[in-house]
Amino acid sequence: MRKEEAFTKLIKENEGIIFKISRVYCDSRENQKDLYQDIVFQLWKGFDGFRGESKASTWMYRVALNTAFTFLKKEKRKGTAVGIDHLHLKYEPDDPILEERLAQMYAQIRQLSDVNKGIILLLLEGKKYEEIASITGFSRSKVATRISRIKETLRTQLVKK
Amino acid sequence: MELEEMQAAWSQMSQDLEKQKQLTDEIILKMTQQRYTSQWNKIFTAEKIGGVICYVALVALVVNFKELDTLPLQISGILCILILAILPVLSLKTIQAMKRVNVTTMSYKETMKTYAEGKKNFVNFQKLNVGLSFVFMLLTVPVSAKLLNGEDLFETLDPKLGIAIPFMFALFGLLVWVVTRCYKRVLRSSENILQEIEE
Repeated sequence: MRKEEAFTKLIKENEGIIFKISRVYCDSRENQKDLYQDIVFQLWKGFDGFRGESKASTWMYRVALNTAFTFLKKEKRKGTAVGIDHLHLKYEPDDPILEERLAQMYAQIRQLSDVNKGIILLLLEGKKYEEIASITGFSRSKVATRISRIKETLRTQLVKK
Repeated sequence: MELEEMQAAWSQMSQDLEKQKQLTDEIILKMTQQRYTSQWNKIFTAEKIGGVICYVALVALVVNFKELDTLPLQISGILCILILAILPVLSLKTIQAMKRVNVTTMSYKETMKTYAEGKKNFVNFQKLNVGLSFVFMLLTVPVSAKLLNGEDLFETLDPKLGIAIPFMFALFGLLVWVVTRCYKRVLRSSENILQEIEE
């Protein structure tokens, strides 16, 4: 299989991951598109180096989270997502209750620190502690401690509301 | 919303997204191509252009150094040459340190750590940069007056200098204020990231 074919197949199979990470890290639709494109580009750049030693999804999460973190920290960003305007990058559930819950969830996640944002995202994706540790570089015990702190923070957010 | 409720909403969204595929081969390749072009354009950064300008000025100063015929002018000239030689190297080194962040191979923790440390060095360099730029601004006045007009400001002590010097100090004060204000937040954010990683 040609490199381009293998790459597009991988991206198409995992496009939901990129969408969710873009949405967690960026508020505006414009920035979400820009980050989405940045993640796809970084994955393309690293695709040759990916030798399948880890699972494709593990590698994708790592690259996507790193890209999201550095994207957020860039002081000046130009909207370079021109030309993919026909890509809507939106998810509007039919159920208004679910829509409201998702909006509330994103608002709560965005209040978390950069480290915890990445960890909760992986936890919500159903990753085990070991896999979260492997993607983030933190030890398993640190991941467990952080998750318990995140739970505490979420409860505090509820009390404040 | 508690974690368990979040997991339920997230899982519902993930299932819906699985059904709602949007990307085609063409869009994916177009995205990588566009970003590649924009990365290529970034190679010509302001810092590199600034570095070239510094070295052109440095060569001009070295070539015409013999025109600086008094000790104060020669000392000013040597200091200008040193600043022009050192600043671009330091600037490019700090930028290179920032580029050590490799999002395709590093873990999330390593990325954050390398980024935050690079940012701290960058801010410290910017502070040094402002100080040296001010010294350079002061020194360049007599040197350029001599090289461009053949006038030795140390000898003539032009009364215009009396107006220029307070103006320069006011400008320097303003620069320091702006830089400190701009970078304080960046520095604090980097410190927070590093502290959080170690917790």
